[in-house]
Amino acid sequence: MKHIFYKEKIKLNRILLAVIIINAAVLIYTFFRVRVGIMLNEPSGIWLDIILRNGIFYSKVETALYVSALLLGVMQFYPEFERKRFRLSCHLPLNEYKMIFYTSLFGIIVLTVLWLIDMAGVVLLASQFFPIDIYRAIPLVMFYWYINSLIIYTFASSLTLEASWNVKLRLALMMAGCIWAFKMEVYNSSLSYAVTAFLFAVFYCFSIYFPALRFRKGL
Amino acid sequence: MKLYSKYLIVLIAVFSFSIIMPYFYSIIFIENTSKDFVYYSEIIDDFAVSTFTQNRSFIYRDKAGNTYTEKEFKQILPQVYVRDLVLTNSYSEIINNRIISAEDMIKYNFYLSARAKNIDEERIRIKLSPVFETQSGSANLTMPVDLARIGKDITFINARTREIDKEKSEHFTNELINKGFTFPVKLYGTNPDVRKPYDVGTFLLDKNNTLFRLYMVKGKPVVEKYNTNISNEEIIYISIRENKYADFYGFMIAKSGNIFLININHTLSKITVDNYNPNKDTMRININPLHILLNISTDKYQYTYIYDKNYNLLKSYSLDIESSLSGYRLDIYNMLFPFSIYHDAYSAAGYLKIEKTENLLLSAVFIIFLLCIYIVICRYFKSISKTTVIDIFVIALSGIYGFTALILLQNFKKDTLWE
Amino acid sequence: MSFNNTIISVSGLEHSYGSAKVLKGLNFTVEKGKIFGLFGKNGAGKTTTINILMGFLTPEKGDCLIYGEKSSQLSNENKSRIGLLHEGHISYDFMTLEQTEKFYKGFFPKWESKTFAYFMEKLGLPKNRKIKHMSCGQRSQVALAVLMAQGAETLILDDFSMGLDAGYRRLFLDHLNQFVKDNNKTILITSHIVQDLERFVDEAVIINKGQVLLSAPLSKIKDGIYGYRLPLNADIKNIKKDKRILDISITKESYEIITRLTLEESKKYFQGITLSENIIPYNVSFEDAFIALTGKY
Repeated sequence: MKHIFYKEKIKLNRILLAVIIINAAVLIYTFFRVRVGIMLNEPSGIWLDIILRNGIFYSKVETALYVSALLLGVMQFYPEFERKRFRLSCHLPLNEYKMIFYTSLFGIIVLTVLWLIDMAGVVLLASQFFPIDIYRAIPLVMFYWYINSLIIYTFASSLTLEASWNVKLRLALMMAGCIWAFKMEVYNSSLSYAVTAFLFAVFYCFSIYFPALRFRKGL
Repeated sequence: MKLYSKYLIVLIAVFSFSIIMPYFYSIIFIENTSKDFVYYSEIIDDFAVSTFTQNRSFIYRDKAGNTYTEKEFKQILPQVYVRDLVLTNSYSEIINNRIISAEDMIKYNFYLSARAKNIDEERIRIKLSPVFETQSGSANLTMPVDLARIGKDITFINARTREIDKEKSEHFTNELINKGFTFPVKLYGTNPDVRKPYDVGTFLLDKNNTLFRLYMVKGKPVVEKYNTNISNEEIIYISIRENKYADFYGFMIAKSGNIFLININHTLSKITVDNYNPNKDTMRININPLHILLNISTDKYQYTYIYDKNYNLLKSYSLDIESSLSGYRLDIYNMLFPFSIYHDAYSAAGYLKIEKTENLLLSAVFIIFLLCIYIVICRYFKSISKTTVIDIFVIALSGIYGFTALILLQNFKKDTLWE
Repeated sequence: MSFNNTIISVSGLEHSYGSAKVLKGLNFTVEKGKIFGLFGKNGAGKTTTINILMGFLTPEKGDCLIYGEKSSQLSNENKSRIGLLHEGHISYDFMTLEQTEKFYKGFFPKWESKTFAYFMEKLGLPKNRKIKHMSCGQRSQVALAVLMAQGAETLILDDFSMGLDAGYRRLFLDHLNQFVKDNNKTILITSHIVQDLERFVDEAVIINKGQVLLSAPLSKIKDGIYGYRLPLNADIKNIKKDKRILDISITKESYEIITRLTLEESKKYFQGITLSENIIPYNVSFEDAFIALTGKY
């Protein structure tokens, strides 16, 4: 596994840097935006606005996360698709199901770490301006963003890896509907729903096997 | 693993299509429907209905079937069209042997409502609320610098410093306890809007289901207890609105569907309601000098109840609600989609609702048809194999969703990647 | 032929793309220690065969076994014994030479660092040079270095010559020759540039229209095939390709006829077209024989 991760890290060096920069920039921007808002208005009014209107003041982080997921998915698997480089990985003396799993797992781990950093950043930022009642409700909202980002990553990976444009289009039709299925715009939604959504996302992540095995075995 | 990966895609596609196909069908085939607005006329002693038709015109009628012109309709509903009638000098102060001036008709006419979505939102809203100075002395209230966390006690948090105002918190908490309040707060309701000249306060239900009113005068808490027994009701929603002419502060809704008006004289007035599920339906009340009109809208029906001023039920009337998909369009919808998944990103519960078809038989027939088509297609392209049994099973369970996914994944020409 | 000596075994291979049958029952074996050339024109089924051999295509019918296992279901142990060179010398372009070695070392416990270092020394590039910044020829050296260093016993090389000039093609084969002979490796190799492999392969199989046209040691491929040059003023209008006349080419100096006729037979055959003394035999190359057997299109 560590060797596959080594390869993926080399492959994604610049992309990793890019997504870190994008997310860091968005976090910093959000911090200053909130700070300005609090400075220029009565803070209790801002708090109330967030409470009454489910104000997701850190919504740009969601965009950054999804863009990162898309970039990771495409840039991780485009080199594999281009010139059928995936064949090299398939011939490594490693169980190919594991190889596919580890390759995808790398992207998922990167996304997870990114999300955790984003979440920590937003909670830390929010704790400077808001009471615990508000910032402890943030992780659950961002958890749904994480679920959606996993789906976007897998969608992008699967479509990128798929060698046939005909099948790419079909996969897009079949898998696209899930992308916004778990979008969440309110605080304190149901936890059981979040668990169901996460299980679905895990299930969805395994769909990378379809284009990978088509590549490998010529389905 | 090849097989698993294929059927994994099929399952994902079934989920995906069950969201997007019904959605696109609905937006393509949706019809403009007529909407009924039901009132009660003391003048004709019957329900009066104005229908906004698909042609964007109004039809006015009563329950007995008589039709009216617009002018006549307004005449029989003075409580609804008082301003129009005053403008045209056709308002009559004598209504059913009662004298009610136009001014009183306007002043003492109140509209209250609650949608399932409101109840949902309140249930999960972050429990921080402003406690306003009850009289601001100006047209609008001033936003306080702190918000109160209402739960196991009352804790005031200064929004500028994010520090707890211990003194104020203890003062308010103790005042409530002294008046008989038992923490934790089960439910509370307030109107957190500054755009009003005064605030009636926050209404809290304690652990024993007793209602208390808490408001602030010159920074000091004032607590009033409602000595009413509603311990057998599970209150799920409290709505408060300031109105200087009303003799109530707001209302509460119980899980049973019963409604309680919170009167200013520390009593509750119970309105017993049938056919009302607060978690699904929309409720509207009009309290006017003549009567109390309660309207419950479900997804299929509209129920209207008339109560006297003592909250005794006098009459009721129900109407079907026209669906935006009806007739053959609805039949086709029920036939095509054995189930549909609906998602709302702004729903408080954050759920995915699964709705099954309303016509199981029609759906089953269509699924059998799809199965036949699928087998014919497989035979024509000579692609029948052991997995066709699994395909049949998938189509039988998921109908058009599974059928579409399997057709999209079918390798009819047996082309491969290497061409 | 015992099982232990047969490394690659292809039997009854059939495959179609849609309604077009590409392979119609291909059979051949590759013995241990042999250098085996797989030849065929474009569209003959060579690429399909190679893809099946490499395990990226499952044939409709027939078997393709390597070390007794199906080529599409090789165990990890056998995967490490087989080196694949993909068409175009595909490698992880985003890696440097140093990273490439570090990566592959992790998968092959028997990695021969000295062998890799030898190739890198020949290449003469810094270790931190990325493969994508190298020329085609340099990339081919890197690909070969990886194959050699991983200690593969069997190599399957798909069109090793693609994109390489004459110099790099020769260099590639020189390296290959050196290591193959020393270590008794088994090789299956293809190339579009047929004459390159004449100096390299032991045995050849020529496939045409999805079937084996000829399978024999290289020396015997040319058996019974003769080449004659006729002057340009010879009247060859009436000479048609048939079982005896395999191919007619024109160069700037003469006609070149590839035929199954011996010199005596050809003198009689070409009587009336040109004088006997103008019929000059020449040594038929493998490429000549290949074109003669498969046709020019």
